[in-house]
Amino acid sequence: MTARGWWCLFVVAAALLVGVWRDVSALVVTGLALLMWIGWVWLFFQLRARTLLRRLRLRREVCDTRGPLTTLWAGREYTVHVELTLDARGWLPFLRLADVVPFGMQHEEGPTTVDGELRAGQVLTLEYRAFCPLPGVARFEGARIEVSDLQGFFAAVQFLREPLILPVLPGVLVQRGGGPTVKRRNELPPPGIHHLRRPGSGSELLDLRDYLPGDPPRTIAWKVSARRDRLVTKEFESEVPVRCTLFVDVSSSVRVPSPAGDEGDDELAGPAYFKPLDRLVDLAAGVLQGATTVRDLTGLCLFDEVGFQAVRPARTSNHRLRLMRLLGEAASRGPVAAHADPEVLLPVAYALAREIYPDLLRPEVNAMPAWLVWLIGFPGYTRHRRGLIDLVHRRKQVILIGGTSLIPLTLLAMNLVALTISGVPDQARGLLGGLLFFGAPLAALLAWLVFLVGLIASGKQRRLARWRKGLAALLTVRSQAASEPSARLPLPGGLDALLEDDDLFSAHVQQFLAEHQVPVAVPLYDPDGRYLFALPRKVEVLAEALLGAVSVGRDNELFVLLADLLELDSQLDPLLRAVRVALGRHHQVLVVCPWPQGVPLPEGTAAATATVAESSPGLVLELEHQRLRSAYERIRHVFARMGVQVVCAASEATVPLILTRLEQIRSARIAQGLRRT
Amino acid sequence: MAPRTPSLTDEVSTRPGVRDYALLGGAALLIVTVLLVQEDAGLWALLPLLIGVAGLAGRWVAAPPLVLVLVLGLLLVQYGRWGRFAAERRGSGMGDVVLATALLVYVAAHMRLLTLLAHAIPPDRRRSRRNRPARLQGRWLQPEHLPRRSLVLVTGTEFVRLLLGAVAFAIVASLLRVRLALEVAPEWLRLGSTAWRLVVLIWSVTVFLLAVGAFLAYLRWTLAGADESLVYLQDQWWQATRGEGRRLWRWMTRARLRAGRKERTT
Repeated sequence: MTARGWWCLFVVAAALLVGVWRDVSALVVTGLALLMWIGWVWLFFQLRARTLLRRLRLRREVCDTRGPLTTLWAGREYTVHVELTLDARGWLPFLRLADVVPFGMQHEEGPTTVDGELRAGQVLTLEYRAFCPLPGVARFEGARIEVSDLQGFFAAVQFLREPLILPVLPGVLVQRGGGPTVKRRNELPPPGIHHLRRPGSGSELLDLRDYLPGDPPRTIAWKVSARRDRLVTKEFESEVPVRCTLFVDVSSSVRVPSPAGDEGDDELAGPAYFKPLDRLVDLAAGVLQGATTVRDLTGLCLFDEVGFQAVRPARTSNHRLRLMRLLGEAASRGPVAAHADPEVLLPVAYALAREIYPDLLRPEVNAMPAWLVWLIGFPGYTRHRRGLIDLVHRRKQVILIGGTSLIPLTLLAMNLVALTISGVPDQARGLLGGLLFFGAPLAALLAWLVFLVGLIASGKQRRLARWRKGLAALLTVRSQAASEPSARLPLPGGLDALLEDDDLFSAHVQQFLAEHQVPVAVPLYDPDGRYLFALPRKVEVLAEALLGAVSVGRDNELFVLLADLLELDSQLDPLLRAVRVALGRHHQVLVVCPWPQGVPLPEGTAAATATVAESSPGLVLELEHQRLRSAYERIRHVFARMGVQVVCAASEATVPLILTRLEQIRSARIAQGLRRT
Repeated sequence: MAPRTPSLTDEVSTRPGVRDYALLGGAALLIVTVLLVQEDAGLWALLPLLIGVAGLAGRWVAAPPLVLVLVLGLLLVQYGRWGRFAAERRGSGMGDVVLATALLVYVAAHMRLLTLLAHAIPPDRRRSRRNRPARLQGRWLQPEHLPRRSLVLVTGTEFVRLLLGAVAFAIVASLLRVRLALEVAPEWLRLGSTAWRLVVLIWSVTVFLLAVGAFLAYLRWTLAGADESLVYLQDQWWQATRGEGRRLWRWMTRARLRAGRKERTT
């Protein structure tokens, strides 16, 4: 019931009671009439809310000019069309449908809410345009439904869950002065002149010559032969495909969101990347597109601190699409901090759960006894330091029992022992007696004081405990739908596990937020001040992946390592060994390092993307910037000693550089082939 | 920037739904005034009219309860003044029915006008009304403008239903009032008639609420989905075993943390 309804009900009830008490017939009749009317409205509203809201059906389509789509592309605009229908006989006099734009998209134009009445057979429609700025996933959770009666006395809110998950694939990165496909740089040969002078079995025509016995009939150029009145054979140019494997870092270190500007970003040229992984994915997509255009084979290896997933180079359109999907899926994941404090994540996660799963958080199905949060704190043991009040809140039961029972009983026992054992000096007995006489009540009093202070001052902890319990129940039930049995929490017992184990709860909450594509600020440092996202293990994984690619590689391949190594400049030995092996097999290696947003670029690097420059960073930030630049220089120096170039991902020349390197390899192989002949 | 809320005069001149509800509310207030004048309320009878009309113009949520309180007060004063002659001076039952109908129509018209001009669903106090950049529009937990009922939804059927319903409720209320007046307390209770009528009234309302509440709760449980049922079952299990579960998982967590600390030190 709304505030309006309560006020009217209160006054009507008062009028009725006063009318009966003072026997004023007009008041009695008026009061009864209004009361019955409010009751009637209430009854019908409740019936509709409980029966009809469950029969609402939502249908959503994301379309472009050609029709509904199941895959989206970054950098394009789409129309979202939503239809709401009632799958039962009945009438909802006022209903409001509010669709929520997912985090993977930006609203461009059109309303995201619509209201009206709804009957069986009627359709409530909503249409708006949205834009996909970055690759990843666009997850539509459903729509928020709000109903009320005509007077606004009663209102109900429900979330109609109809998830629709659409992958957003990386769009082609076309930069100014771009790759080989842009003739402005003359990197492609002009039409009619071929670098590939060696005849071979390609598809492009190289030359015409007279027919020689033994030439396959399919190579005979019949029209030319008819004109010249002799058989003429076609010679095709030799294809010299170059293989390129992209090693893309998808670990949590590149998934940490950058503090991009808010309103200012709309005015800067180019996309503002949300996290370094978005830039790496865009680069990989650009290289993939450029290489495929010239029929080079491209492979992909996604690695993180746990393992890697490799796809061998190929050049078919299905292969390209598969790689784009893998890049899009990788871009959709968020960072995972192993020991994140759940109290930081809890408000966001609970707010999201209240929006999407309000029916599962109702007190009737998911209750936390009111007295429980006053007496018992969760969790009992934690690695996080949250202050004295939190400690007292979690330990107040122990403090009370210890102060009122354990300490007095211990003192009593000591006194009894001292009295029974001979040889104990009288002074000691006196001291123990004094401790018992004064200390026990004092300990009890102190324990009660601390307990009461813990009760009064722990409002925030009690609130968080209620939220945690509600969310833990929801997460336990949702985990039953996981495909991996190891990911499922035990159904009786899982709730207790999440209440008592901070790390387990934190992991599940982060998974919950990541699944719903909700970005959240993860803590970057642990309580000891260590940076959580350095992840040195990924260097070993990358080295292993590189060695695997080298072992199955052919001649003169290009391996591009798109990896965040800024925090690992002193732990690169495994990777350097793998790079030496690759260079020894006559392959080429190129390293691309993502650059944090807001940090001035290294010297000599022109920015390709919008960067939010700090006008006056302050001493701490300036030191941090210097540290990053020094790390970058060290990495460049280390790889330069092996002849491996290191470039910054923020540079505008990264994709052309990679494609140019492929061309160089191709030219070198052609020259090698010509020398052999 | 949030759209400017139009004034009643703007809406009356441009939107028939708003005009009709405003006129209906005003007409109901006039009828109430006439009836109060018939009850010898004098110039005080104009007070509910003035408050009600001001409330309609200014979109006061408190106007209908205030009007009801004023009518209550005026009638009490009149009946108190008549004293033992109240039974003779009391108007016919038809007057009570008309008064009840008019007040019900006024309250309904005023509230429906508010849903059209102010908001139909209470605003979420957690969200600010401050506008955000365009690219954040429509996202989670963003400020929302007050949801109002669209004016195009107002149909003539609503008015007919309201008037007929008001008359029906007033007539039934009158009959119930007669029935209540016939209630006599059992002798063994030794309660006055007024007290007994109050008991009967409160008891009837309570029984009605309990019965309807039980039915609605049954309906909710019957129509509960799989997830909701699972959450409920899990919750019942947890309520019954939370002490043991808490101790078990607390010790397991403690052991794990200790093992982790030992690993780090070694």
